[in-house]
Amino acid sequence: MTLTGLPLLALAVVLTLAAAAATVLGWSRGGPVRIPLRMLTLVTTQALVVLTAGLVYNRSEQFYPSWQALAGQTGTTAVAHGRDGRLDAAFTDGRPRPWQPSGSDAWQLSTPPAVTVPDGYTGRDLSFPVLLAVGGPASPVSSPAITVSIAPGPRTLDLPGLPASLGADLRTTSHGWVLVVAAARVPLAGRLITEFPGRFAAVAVVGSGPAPAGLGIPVRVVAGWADAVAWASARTTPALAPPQVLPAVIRP
Amino acid sequence: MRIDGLPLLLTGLALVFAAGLAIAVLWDRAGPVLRSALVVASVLGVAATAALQLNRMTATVGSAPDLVTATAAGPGGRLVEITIAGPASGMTMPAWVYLPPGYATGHERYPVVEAFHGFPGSPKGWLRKLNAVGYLNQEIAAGRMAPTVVAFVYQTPDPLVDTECTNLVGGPQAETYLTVDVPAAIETRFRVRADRAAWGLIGYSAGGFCAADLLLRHADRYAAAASLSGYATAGIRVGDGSERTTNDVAWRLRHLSRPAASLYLGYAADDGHPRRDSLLMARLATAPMSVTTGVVAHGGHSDAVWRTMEPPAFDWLSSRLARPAPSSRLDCPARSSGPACPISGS
Repeated sequence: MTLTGLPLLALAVVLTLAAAAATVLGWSRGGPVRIPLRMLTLVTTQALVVLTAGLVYNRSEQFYPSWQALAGQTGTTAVAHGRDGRLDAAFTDGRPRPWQPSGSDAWQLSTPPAVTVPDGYTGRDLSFPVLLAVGGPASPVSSPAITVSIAPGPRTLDLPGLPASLGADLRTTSHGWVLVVAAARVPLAGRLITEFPGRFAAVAVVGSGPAPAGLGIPVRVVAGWADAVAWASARTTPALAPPQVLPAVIRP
Repeated sequence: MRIDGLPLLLTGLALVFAAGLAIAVLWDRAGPVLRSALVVASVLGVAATAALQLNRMTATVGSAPDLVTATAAGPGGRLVEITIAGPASGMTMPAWVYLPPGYATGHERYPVVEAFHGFPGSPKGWLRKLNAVGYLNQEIAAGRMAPTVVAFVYQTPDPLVDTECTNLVGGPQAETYLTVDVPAAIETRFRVRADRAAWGLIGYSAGGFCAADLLLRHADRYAAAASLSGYATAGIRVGDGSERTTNDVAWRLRHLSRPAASLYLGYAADDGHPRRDSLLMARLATAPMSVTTGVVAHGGHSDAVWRTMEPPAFDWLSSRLARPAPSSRLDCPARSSGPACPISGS
């Protein structure tokens, strides 16, 4: 018998009516146990009235659609799945390392990107956001994000596939990344923001003058690389352990 | 004796039994007046006791000072009670604010989440029924969530008035309270970030509608929202017809430009209306919005479902909000009159 079905509701109504009838019919009977009998039938009737009202309300609002729900069982456990980056073992916290994934030839860079994983990368399963530094000094400035230093060549127009390649090689987040670019590289920043929508949270431009318009995310012009990296790093999402996840709808 | 405490409920039950006993014993000797009085007392006793239990189940009216005391000494985060006087909205309400572990000794400014309750309900739904402090402590300790300040706020000044977090024409200005007064009070009193990237919303049931609606209506202030068993529509009359247009989440997603914001939609598969509405919102909230869904197998529209969703939803929110960061690296909030707020080099 289901919690919200008609049979249970009908049973509750019948029992309520029966208890009410027993109260009335038994009121003057029972001899020496008359008083306890009156009490019993009266309170039972009251309890059944409340129970029936509760069943009607729950049937209309469906707060508890099943006995399981009433018992507080959801049949669901959230799970947290970590994952490794293919190159996790090759990196040491804070030490830059050249990174040449397949397909990086298309980026037309003058030197391979230098990638630095921050303190706390090794030994735990945290995923980190990424700070993409374009056209800056070769030795990166410290950031709580994974830092990828890019030295664009004269023919570098965009960086196809970079987020996916980096995500396979290291434990990166899918969003909350930031850009730190030399003023001359603002057009490249604009293309990256457009090409990877939702990925970048802010861009710091190293230079002077007014902030470039139309990038669609917070922009700040900062005089030096160290300050620009610090400003942008504060706009990344946190490095977190694998989240607890519920099953998702595939596609509604 | 607390109105939402077990002693009062047991007292109510005892009165029901006492009234029953009085009827059983006195009936034969009583005249019509006393008999009527006894019956009325008995019926009122049953109704009042049922109402007490309903209030306990929804945590609508009552207090939570013991929660504030309980967290003061513990190893996790701390809960503090404040009063938020709303100069913009005219609403003045208590609120409970979770300060994460490390808040007292740290120097960083934290991301903030505003948490909305269901209707009928109150912030105590989060604190008592849904064990929010316990789950926040657990997720932060596990590193699945960054230390975050969470404000548990009232959505209505009157437990019987359902605002759905809107500005009711001729009634409470809940939307202004929640999106202007609450952020101002939190930013003034606590070491939090003021930028949009660090502010999020979460709510269950009616509070789920609030979270989705206010995210879309105030995308310049909030970056992410989690709706747990929420609705796409307000289900009330706002007074200006906006419940069919600008206070209807599906209408907004269809007719207005969508913001670059993140939305989490959780529901139980056997909870018909929120399920339909969540699927509708998930279908409509296309780029530049980002949608994540979380489905609980069964459990209806109940505390058990929301407790199952809490850790995943909090983890998701934290992953979508900007990290705790040193004050020196944040831009000074325009309204901050309190703690020093140096501006980074520009």
